Amino acid sequence: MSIPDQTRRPLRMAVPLLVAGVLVVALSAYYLAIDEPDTAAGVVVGGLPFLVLAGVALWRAWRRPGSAGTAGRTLTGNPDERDRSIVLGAFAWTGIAAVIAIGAATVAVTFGADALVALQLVMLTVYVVLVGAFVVLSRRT
Amino acid sequence: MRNEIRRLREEVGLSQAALAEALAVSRQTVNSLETGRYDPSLPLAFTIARHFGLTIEEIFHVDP
Repeated sequence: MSIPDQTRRPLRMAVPLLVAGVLVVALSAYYLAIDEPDTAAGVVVGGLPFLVLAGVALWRAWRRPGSAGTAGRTLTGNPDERDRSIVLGAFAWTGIAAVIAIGAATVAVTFGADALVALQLVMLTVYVVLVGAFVVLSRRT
Repeated sequence: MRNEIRRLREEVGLSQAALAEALAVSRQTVNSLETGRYDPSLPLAFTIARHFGLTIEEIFHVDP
């Protein structure tokens, strides 16, 4: 229920972001090394916008903790009980969507669809549902 | 569930931000509580009741 104030520890908040940034660069470099330039570009295009957005949310939460939103407080490890219920709900919807998407993808692959495309669509569905559910629940809760 | 949080807060002249700080939650959570969009956990309901010196039943009411 209580909010432990971690918003005054910018270094602690930035560490997970830096680790994620290093992972994105390393994964992209790996795909380049095994001659998969399209996948490497996909990792960068998918990962960097998320990192930039997360960085902005962290910066705002650090500069003005009182005006941080649910995402900012969650990313800084500073959520209250409403924030936690929103995140929990968003992940619940994501889980349901994942089960349905995987089932649909399995059927599609069985009928001859390209497995890689099906997998990418499952991932896209999961991300879209996660973000969408988070936004909707934040507004409704 | 309805509640008397807004009326009680205004009676004691607190802003949402000040009440949020006192309850150790975010200002958005206080706003959601006041507008009835979010029902608090039992521990938070007790904290709110204790803050205003009332019982939970005096603050929260089940919708008819």
